[in-house]
Amino acid sequence: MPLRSLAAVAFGVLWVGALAQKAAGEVKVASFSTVLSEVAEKVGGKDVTVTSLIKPGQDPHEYQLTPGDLTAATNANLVLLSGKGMENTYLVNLRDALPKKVVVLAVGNQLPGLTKPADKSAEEAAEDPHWWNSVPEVEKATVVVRDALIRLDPQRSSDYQSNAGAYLADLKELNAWVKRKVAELPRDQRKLVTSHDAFQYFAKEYGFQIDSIEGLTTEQEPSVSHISALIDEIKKQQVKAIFLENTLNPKVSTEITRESGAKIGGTLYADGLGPGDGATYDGMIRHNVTEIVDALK
Amino acid sequence: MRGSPPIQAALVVMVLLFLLIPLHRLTERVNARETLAPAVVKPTEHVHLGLKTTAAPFRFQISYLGRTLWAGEATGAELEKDVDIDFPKEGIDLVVDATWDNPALVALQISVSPPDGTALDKTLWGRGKISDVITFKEE
Repeated sequence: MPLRSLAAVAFGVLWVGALAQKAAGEVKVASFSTVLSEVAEKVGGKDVTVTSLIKPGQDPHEYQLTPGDLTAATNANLVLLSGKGMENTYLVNLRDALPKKVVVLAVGNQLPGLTKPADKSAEEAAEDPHWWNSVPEVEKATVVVRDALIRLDPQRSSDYQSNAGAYLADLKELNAWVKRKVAELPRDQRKLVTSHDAFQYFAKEYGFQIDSIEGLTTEQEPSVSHISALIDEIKKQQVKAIFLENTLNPKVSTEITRESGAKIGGTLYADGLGPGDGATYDGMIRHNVTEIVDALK
Repeated sequence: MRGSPPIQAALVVMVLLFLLIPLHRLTERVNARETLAPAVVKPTEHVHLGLKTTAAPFRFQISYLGRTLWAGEATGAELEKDVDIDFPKEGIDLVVDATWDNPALVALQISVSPPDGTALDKTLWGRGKISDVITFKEE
């Protein structure tokens, strides 16, 4: 065999071997959170394939596990969940169906939680799962995802560290912007009324008082007495605006604005990334904060 | 007995006019939507601001609710100023920006003394630049 042919065969063998090694070492992530999909893509970079099972604009409270999504989760090395009860309706089935080799990480469960005050009913005392509405919580989540990827794929540890560092720097810049934007609003005017109770982390971080029409999930229907009390509170506190959400029917909110005299402040992305300007985490936060501050000024 | 038509017509008109006031009151359109009470104009308070740094000179700007309260270039390590702002019980957020020519580690202490005399202070650290939002709230 001529020397040139031998070299070509050797090169081919090496190339196929390298491809096989790459395929074997590739990390696949399946995410049940639009925000965590972005975090995994940013931290994982080109070496990680992320399948987002909940799409931007989709209501995660009403999501139902499909056979196709279960297959995608089964083929992943790492499954990311929001945690804090967000996936309670399908979590048991998901855990039962997944092979043992798949790591299931409920990211929110690694973060400090917030619950409603003790004077609320037992149902309302559940932990708020909407931790992504505070930028520092997403910084913590980025570290959790980074560490999980390093455990799964320690050979690319430095890449994950570097990618996470760049994303964390972006998040710090975003948080600085949020603080400056919110500082345009007097602290005694930071009264936020939303469709459902998804902004406790936001309120704690940026100094807002909050109230909501529905409970922690979009499936909790508001009672007549709650709506009546809320209208009274809006009048008493002279709340200028209430906010709708992209995943909710605005009918009740519209009725409250009619009765209370408050205006509709805008539509917020409460349950994760959305369409249009809310398609990235940066865009989602900037949209929400701008809507809130400009309407309450 | 039948009266004359003009007199009867006048009586009818008078009765109708008499009923007009209560009828108007009964049928007046009530505006169900109560409007919010007009916003109370908040009185401003005399607040004393102080800056203390580990390195001078430096340039600074202190802003509140989107307007500059105090800005300048300081040659000394300590300076102070009185400003008139509203200071609600929920507190105030001050936006602090400061720069030094030397990119070494510096500290900047910002103190706020509301009219009741309770002094509040916060310290920020940076390397040649400080840019942050700080909250002052009376406990």
